[in-house]
Order: sequence, then structure tokens, then C-alpha cells
Amino acid sequence: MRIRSSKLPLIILVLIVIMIVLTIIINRIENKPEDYSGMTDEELATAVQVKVDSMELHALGAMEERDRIEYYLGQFIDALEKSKYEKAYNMLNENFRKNYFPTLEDFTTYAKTKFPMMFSIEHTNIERNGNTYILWVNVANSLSGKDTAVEYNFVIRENDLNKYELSFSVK
Amino acid sequence: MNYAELRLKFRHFVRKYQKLILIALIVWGLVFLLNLLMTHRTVEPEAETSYEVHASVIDSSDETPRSMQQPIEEKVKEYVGYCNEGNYQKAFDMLSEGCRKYAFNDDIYVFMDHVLTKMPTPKEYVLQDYSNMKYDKDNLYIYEIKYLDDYLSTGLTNQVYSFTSERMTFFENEDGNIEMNVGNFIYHTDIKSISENEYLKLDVIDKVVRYSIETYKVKLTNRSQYTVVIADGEEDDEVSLKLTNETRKRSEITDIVLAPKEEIELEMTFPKFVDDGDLSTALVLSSVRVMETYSGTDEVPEETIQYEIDNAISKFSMEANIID
Repeated sequence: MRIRSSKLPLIILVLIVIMIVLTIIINRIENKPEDYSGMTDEELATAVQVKVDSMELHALGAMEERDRIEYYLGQFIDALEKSKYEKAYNMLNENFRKNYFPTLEDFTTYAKTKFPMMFSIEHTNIERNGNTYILWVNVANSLSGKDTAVEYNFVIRENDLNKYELSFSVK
Repeated sequence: MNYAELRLKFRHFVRKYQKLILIALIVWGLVFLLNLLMTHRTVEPEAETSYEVHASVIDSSDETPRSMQQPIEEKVKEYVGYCNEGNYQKAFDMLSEGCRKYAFNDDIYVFMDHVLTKMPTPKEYVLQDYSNMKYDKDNLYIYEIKYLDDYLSTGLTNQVYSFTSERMTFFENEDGNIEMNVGNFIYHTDIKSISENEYLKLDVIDKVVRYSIETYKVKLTNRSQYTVVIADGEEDDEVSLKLTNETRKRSEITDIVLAPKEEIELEMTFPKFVDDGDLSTALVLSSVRVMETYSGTDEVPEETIQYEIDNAISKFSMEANIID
């Protein structure tokens, strides 16, 4: 194919300009800061939550396996300490809920009577079976000391990153 | 050089190399676009896990071939499903011919006993490639399967964590289909190795290899008019299996004593892991005694035992080669 040499510098110039424009457009889209000023409170809360979830996901992806599983347990305990019983209840495996806590009220009653308000936990063992992990944990009331520790088993199945379900040994 | 000359030189250069310049531009453009795409691609973080079903525990760089991974998983799922349903015949029919015959005597009830020992109630399972090896020309993929209760549904409430397990072996048959063994059974092979002298004939008939033991079927023929003692606990290592690097003692503690002209068939078991890299080379009877008189060893004075050994007609060792 013979291109007219007089056209070639023009073709080269056009190609270079296209590439520069593409780079600028893509960089602008990537680096465009979120405009929060026009958002409602609800939209703002959602946008912030999305950011937090994304950061959490990346942090979890960088964690080692055992740390990640213990983090999930930490989330459950955190929900209990903050009396967010519905959030904790929703983390439970469906069959486990049916077997031991058919209603949220059943679980809330149990949590209030059996779990301490402030947890002090000591991990003593962990076993992995496929994507299911069994943890042996001494749970104590951090205000009362280690002598009040009760050993619990927690069973956690990780279905995907930050997607898990759990159960525990009911006392 | 003035501007006109420069322009002429440039035009001459471009005319001379125009095809090359265009190709270079197109390649550069493609690389540029690819780089742009890759740089801005969003990579979703993944959960790092130590669980890789088809990577061998013994050598993590050794994996079951991809073409076999999915079929193995499906086979195991189907097998455990049948066992959980109590459909033992269908589960039994999934096993290789060798496994049905040599691990379970072709007896469905023996198989049922085995399944009920491993899975007395419906179980979940976890599969893990344990070791991959070659036997003859076949590649064998040995998996460990763990059977456990559904602990996620119970949280281990009023339960103690426990599980049963066994080795399963997978290999491709001549038709390219995947065959399955369970119950730690790996393979069976005929040996047909004979060693003999004027007093004794040792015929090693075959062996059954399980994951951690080898069992040899042996026929012993006493050719003499005397009692032949092969094992009665009076000597060390009376019956052993010679490996490339060491020897293993027979697991059984029963006596092997042949009356004059007696012929017996028995099994001898030796501890040996199939994937330890060692080869079984010979079956050794190290202290065979042809006894003029033999009183046994139960409640017999030590002096009598020693007297009879010292006055044996003959004492020898005998070895039969068993290399596959």
C-alpha cells in the first residue's frame, strides 16, 4: 500500500492527538472527585458506606486467612457489644437460626443473658475444613476478668470475601 | 542547512520509510491502548486461602490435571450422596472392579459395614488431594476425604468436634474413563514369586496395596517330615518386608508353624505408605527352623525351647523377590 507521503505527517499528527485526548479523558474520569455538595443526608450516608465497604474489602483481601476469619468473628462480637442484635442475627447461618433462635427476639434474649456486655476473647484453636472454619474461643466479661471465661465454638463459613455466615455453641 | 533543505530531507526520509513508519505507529498505538486499559482495570480483591482441593498436600506444586478435577469432584459428590441416602448398591457400583473385589470381597454387606463405620449418619465432606504417584504406566491421584457433621447448623452445640476419613484413589482406565477406589485401597497386583529348598516352599501369590499397609497372600509348603517353624516369637524379625532403604516387620503376631507335609495359605501384612518413595523388593523369612522335636512356646521352659532350637535339623533364611 503506498500512502501519499504528503498525507503521512498529517496521519501521524492525528494519531498522536487522538492518544493524548484519550489519556486526558480517561484520567479525568478516574480522578474526578465525588461531588457530595448536592447530596441528601441519605445519599451521602450511602456514598460514604460504599467507600468504607470498598476500603474494607481491600483491607480484607490483603489479610492472611486466619486474621480474616478472626476479623469476621470480631464483627459479630462488635455487633453484640453495640446491642445491634438484628445485625448479629443476620450473620447467623439460616439453619442454625431455625434450630436455636427461630426469632430475633429469641436471639436477643439469649445474647442479653448469656453474652457479656464487654467481651474479652482469647483464641485457643482453629481448624479449617474446606471453606468452613471452627474456632475455639474463651469468652470472658472484660470487666470481670479471665476467671469468668467460658469456652465457645464458633463455626464460620466464608462464601466469598466479606460474605460469611456463622454459628456458635449455644450454652 | 536552510529550512527548505531540511524539509526536503524530511520528505525524502518519510517517502523512503513510509510503510515502516506506519507499522511502527500502529503497533505503538495498540500497545498504548492496551497499557491504558490494563492500568485502569479494576481488580477485585480475592480471599486468600490455604485450601486448594487439587494441589497435593505432600507436594503443593503437584496438581491433579485440570481435565480430571471437575469429574473427580462430581464423582465424589455422587458417591457421598448415595451413601447418605443409604443407596449402597449404587455407591458400590461406582467403585472400580479391583476395589470391589479386593477391598470388599465383592460383598455389598462388607461395603455397607465400611460405609456405616465412616458415615453412620448423613455427613458433609471435605476433599483434598493428598499425593499423586505413578504405578506401572498409570497415574494415581490419592485424595483424602473427611466426613463431618454439619457443624454450621449446630455451632457444635453439645458436640465434640470429630470426623472420620479415608483415602480415595482416582485413575484413568484404558477407555479414558475415571475409576474410583475407596477404603484406602490403592491397587492389587499378582506376584507369583517362588523360593524353595528341600524343606520349604514359599510362594508369594499376590499383594493388595492400601494407603498405609501392604498385604501379601502367601502359600507355604512344608516338604519335610519335620515341623518347620517360620515364626513363633523366639527370634528377631522372623518375617519381614525388605524395602529399598529399610525393612518392615510383619504386623501380625500369630505363630506360623507347619506340621510335616502341611501346606497353608495365609496373609501377611506390613506397614508401608504407598507414597513414601520406597519400593518393596522382597519378602524375607529370616529364621526358618526345621525342628526334630518341637514343644511350642506356651508354658514351655526356656531351657527346653533353647535345647530344641540348638538341635534343629536345619536353620536357614529364605527370600522371595516381589518387585512389581
